[in-house]
Amino acid sequence: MTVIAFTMALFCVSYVAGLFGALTGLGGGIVIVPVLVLLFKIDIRLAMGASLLSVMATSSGAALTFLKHHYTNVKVGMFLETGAIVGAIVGALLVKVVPVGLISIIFGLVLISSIWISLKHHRGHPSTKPSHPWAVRLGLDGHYYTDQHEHKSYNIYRVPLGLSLMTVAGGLSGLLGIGSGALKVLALDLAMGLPYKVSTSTSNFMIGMTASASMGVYLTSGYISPELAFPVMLGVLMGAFTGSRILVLANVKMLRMLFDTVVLLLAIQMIYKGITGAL
Amino acid sequence: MKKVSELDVGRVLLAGVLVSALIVLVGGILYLMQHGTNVYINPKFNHAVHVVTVQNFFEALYQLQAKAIILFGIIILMVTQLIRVMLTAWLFASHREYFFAWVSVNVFVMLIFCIVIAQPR
Repeated sequence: MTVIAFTMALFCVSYVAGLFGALTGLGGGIVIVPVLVLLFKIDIRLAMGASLLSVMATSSGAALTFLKHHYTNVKVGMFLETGAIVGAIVGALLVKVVPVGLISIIFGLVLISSIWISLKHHRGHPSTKPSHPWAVRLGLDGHYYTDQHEHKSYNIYRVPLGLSLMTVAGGLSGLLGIGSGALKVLALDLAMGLPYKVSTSTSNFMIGMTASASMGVYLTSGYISPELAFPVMLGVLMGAFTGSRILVLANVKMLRMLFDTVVLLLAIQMIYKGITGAL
Repeated sequence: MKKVSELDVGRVLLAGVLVSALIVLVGGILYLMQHGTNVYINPKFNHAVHVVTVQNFFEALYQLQAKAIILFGIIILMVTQLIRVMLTAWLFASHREYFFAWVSVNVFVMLIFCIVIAQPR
């Protein structure tokens, strides 16, 4: 196969990954790594580098849309980002010492949990309990407008737990080259009680910064291969853009189920390859 | 002095992504023009081959090497993140939220720190 044919194939696959990543809410990065590793036989570290780059690009590209809706809680995002960055740099430095087989196993497990988190029904949080003392002290509580232009305010709970979970999410982001959006949402939504829309958009606000922290280590450690990274970045970015458009137009329930099943199979493969040492 | 809004942060990010993607695209096309018809060989991970240092990056960029142009696009994306963190700090400061301005400055310093300690010795 020629370089140009291979690059086009990478671009097309990345486009599909970005498209479905946006439709399912899993994100393009976490999906593209197993595809690159299992289908294209690319070294997992180089696949992670390409993924991290596409994560940075897509989250930055989507931020304006989220900010326009005023869902993003910038205070919470910045505050928790301090933990996420520390996690990210530790995670990214760990790539050097953790065996690739183990990275592959962890990847598969995180992928499965991400599917589970993204499928879970998000219940509304009753804002009756008073906020965590830190949240009160810092004035983290926020408000947003629903689609019906209804004004809703929310309290924030368990700030230390949220910060710890965010540090772990940052660590996995650095270790696996993903945005770990699902874990960030878990920390914001389940632990701290932010409304789901606020959680997803605040998570998006943070992903670019976390990824940027890891990217410094990735660049200088040789995990970024420009010739692999460019079709992946452009493909995922364009796919995610298309996906966000389709999401407004169509009900994608069937498509999601099909895609989640495929991703689940990929995750199992990643774990299997990691255990058998086939990487 | 004009107050920055959250939307400006979003605009900076979007602009950064578009500029970065454009540069990466130019580098990519150049790469394909130079190497497109070669037979593809899967790059084996080799620390020594892929490692980027400040010096060899600027040399390669000066020679307009395709890979260096792609890397330049990636660095634009990282610089965009730095700008947006500073902008957020300014946003907080202009709303008299000094604690969060300080938090943002800390995030900025940590991002710089990541780049510095990552330098191969």
